[in-house]
Amino acid sequence: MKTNFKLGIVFLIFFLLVANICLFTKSLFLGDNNSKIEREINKLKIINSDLEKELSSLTSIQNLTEVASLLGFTNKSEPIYLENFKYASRQ
Amino acid sequence: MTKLWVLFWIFSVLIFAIVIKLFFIQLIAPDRYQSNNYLQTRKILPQRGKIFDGNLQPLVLNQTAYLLYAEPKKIIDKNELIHKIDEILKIGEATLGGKINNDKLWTLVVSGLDKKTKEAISKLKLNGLGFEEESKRFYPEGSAAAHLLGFVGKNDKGENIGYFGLEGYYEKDIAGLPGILKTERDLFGNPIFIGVQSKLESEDGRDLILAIDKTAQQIIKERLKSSLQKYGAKEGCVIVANPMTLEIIALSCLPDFDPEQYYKFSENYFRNPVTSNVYEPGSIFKPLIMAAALNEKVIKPTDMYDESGPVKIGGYEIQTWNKKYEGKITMTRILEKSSNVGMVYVGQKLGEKKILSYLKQYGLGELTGIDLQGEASGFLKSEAEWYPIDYATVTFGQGIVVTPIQMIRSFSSLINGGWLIKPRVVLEIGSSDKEKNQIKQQKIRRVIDERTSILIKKMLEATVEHGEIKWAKPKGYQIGGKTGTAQIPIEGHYDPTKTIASFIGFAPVSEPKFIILVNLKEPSTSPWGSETAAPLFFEIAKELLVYYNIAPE
Repeated sequence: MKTNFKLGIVFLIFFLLVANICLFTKSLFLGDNNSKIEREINKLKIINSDLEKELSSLTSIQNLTEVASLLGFTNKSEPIYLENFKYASRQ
Repeated sequence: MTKLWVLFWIFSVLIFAIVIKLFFIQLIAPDRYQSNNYLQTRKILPQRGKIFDGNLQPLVLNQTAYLLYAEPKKIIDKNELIHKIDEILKIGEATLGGKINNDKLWTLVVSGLDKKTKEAISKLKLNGLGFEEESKRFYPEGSAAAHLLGFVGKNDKGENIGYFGLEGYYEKDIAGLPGILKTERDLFGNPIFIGVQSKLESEDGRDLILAIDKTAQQIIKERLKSSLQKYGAKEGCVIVANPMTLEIIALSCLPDFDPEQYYKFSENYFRNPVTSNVYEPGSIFKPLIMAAALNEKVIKPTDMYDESGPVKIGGYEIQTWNKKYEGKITMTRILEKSSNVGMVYVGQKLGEKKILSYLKQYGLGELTGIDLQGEASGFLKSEAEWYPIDYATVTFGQGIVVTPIQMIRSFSSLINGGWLIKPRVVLEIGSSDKEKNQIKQQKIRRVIDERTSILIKKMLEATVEHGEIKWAKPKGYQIGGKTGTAQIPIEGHYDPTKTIASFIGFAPVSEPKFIILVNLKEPSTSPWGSETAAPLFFEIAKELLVYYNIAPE
């Protein structure tokens, strides 16, 4: 009875030791994973802000003005009725 | 007993050794152990709020920038490192040498680097250099609205802070609140999962949605820029607002600055002349006095005045601007030909007490409360300081100082049915995922009644139709307005060659959609507002009528 009890204690200590090592290793992996996810989120945030910047640059009036002039749009495309009111009156 | 004593002394010595070591770590040399922080506390910086125009087009965004730092103790060959990074940064080897101080453990080399520069430096694989991410403002339209937006600089602690314009006024709202991250880290700096992990999330700044229209802003800036060159003016400002709500649609002053590279400009460029500079408004002030007299029913638009010659007040003689006198003219004609002597007559009919009372009601000498940092209140003398000549000159806008924003606010009250309204730039504060706060229109008081407003609008329309000069007015549209040429007081005297040429106008007359104030400082081609500011007004008005799709009346 006494021997069994002692054996039980030894097994328990051994089990706790293994469990502790497993738990510790697991926590290391989780900690590492956590860091990776943090880095990934940060990276995505940067990509997102870069894309937002690029998009706003492309749709900015300054850029659109340059593109419009390259495509041949000029001030002549203003509505004619401002200069010749009769055109507006006919409609 | 002896064994116990031996054990006691061994433990005592060990405990004493631990106490000494702790004392050394915590008090004598804490710096040496800082890099091995077991428990790390880090500040989580919030994202600064973005700024959008009325159509939700971005005016200010955030971009990721990089701060380059050096750890001089880890640098192998300082000269070679400086030479290599200066080929990319181009800020001078001597400057870099001064920044990388060998006595320091960590030193800032340069901040605000873009991704390309960061990657170019990283490729060099130099020991002792590192990067930290930081947030920087990005302006898709460049300096199109510099005075309106302000800029983000640094305070004495090196933290980001907004200065001037909206960045300064709404600093508390758009800066956000920093969070705190407390983590137990292992030997490699990774968080220990079962250790202490406490995180207080940062709260990002709130976005601003403005009444500003990016296209209108671009239109006025381009037109103002070309007019400054055309008329040889030193400075100029254009403000466009909705007179019914006093929402600022566009505001531009030149010369301005680049908000992204604000440090390249002197402080004089940062002040927004529209809110911070005072000036004598000149003839654009006349409709305010005329409307007051109409409101008090002391005159009617058709009443006659005998413009026979100069008027003497005290020891001073008041003349018309061109020294021409037309004899019997109507009140409307007084505005059309911008008669100073006629306005003195209107002022006399109104009376001194009423003049002062109306000036106060128009909100002159008080802050308008516009949501831009650095507003000046202008100046209105106390009743005891007013002399008869002051009551005469104020009727044609001299001897009184106002800010352009005060001028546009008081003038708007003439054409919006009589209401003095608080001007505003921001319509909404908030972010897409959270509740938005709308900034509501604030009517302060009624200055003139509806009937007077209709009368003065008609008189101002006649002023544009029958003014001294025929402008290139868009056909089919009813436009009201008034020119102004204010001399600039220099050392107690007026210099006739130095003027502020102005035009304030609105369209369409029946239901005004916009009001525009144009100011040009010291135009050299002509000192008159009618020959400089007025043509610029009509150029802008023509473009806005097309842009807002306003049909001819």
